[in-house]
Amino acid sequence: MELVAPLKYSMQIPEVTLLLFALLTGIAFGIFLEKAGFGNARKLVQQFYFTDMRMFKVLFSAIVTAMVGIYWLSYLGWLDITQIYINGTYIWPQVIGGIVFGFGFVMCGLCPGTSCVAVFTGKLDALAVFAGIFTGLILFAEVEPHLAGFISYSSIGDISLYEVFNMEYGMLTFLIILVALAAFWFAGRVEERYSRKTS
Amino acid sequence: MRTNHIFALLAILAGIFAAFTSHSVKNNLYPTWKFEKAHLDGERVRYISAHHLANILYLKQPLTLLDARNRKAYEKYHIPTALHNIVGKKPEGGRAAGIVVLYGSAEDQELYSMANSLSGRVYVLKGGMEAWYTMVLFPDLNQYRVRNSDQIKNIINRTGFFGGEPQNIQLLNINERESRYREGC
Repeated sequence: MELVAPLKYSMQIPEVTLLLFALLTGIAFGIFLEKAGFGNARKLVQQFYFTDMRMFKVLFSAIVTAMVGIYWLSYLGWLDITQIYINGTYIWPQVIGGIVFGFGFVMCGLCPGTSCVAVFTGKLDALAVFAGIFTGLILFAEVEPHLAGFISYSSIGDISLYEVFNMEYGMLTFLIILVALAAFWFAGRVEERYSRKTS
Repeated sequence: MRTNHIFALLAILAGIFAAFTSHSVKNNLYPTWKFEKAHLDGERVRYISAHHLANILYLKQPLTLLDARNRKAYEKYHIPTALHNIVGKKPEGGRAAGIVVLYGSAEDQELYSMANSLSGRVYVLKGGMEAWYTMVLFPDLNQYRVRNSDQIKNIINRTGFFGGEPQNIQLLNINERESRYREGC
């Protein structure tokens, strides 16, 4: 048997075991988020005042790490890249969703993942956010059938950046790394400047 | 040297090596690759895949399509919106600006020379009419590395749009595949 990730296909892992893996991964993810200080709305919201760009740096690092990892694992034949699910791109729904999400993030200082962490560390504001998320989910599920036309209107399929830029995946990986490093440097400078202003 | 700098250096090295591997092209990871270039007998040829051509036509984006086959073959069937264009002659029906795609029964030197003689961004359809038949009009879904049912639906809709019919659709249990691929957050 050839062991190629995702292992659930090549090893025929039962659904229960996969759920257990998911639980363990979720716990580890939560621990790291909390340790990084992402369970604190005050800390997270500083990003929007440019005084603490930690969240931006951590998330961009995660993207780059995953990108490099996926590329090289695929290159070594340990991962079948075509089996990885890619969310479809629905331009206008995602633009509108992004704006709503952004407003919510700035106002409450938490995103869905960090609100879960904050709830379990006993923060009341996170509980309110959590309730809001579920209310939104239920409302959307009810309204979604009426929005089907709008949602599919600007669908352009599950495309990736390499398709948009017509570029070899390796070259794209390299360019994203350069963009990330430039962004980290820039974020550091901005952080320094605004921290000095506020202190 | 700080830890951050070491990680940055490692990332740059990983990126530089990745940039030179051409892994995705060599392993045909992306069957819907849009454009590619090749040098054949000293001539530069730009290709477009049948998938990408079909998507452009499906989305009604501007494009000039030239059929370089003989008149009989053109009248029997041609890719929608294609103008007839005999090798060595100017196309019938005038020319629009932008992308020009040229196709024949197969690819040959004559077609490449013709593509180079035309002005503008001229692309040759990779695989010719055969690619159009097998990838767009009668795609075998068993051959596709589909990622989810949205992709399958898109292929089926597109095939219907051009008057074709997907092959081996009965072998796919879309719901099963959907649950298999619906992952991520």
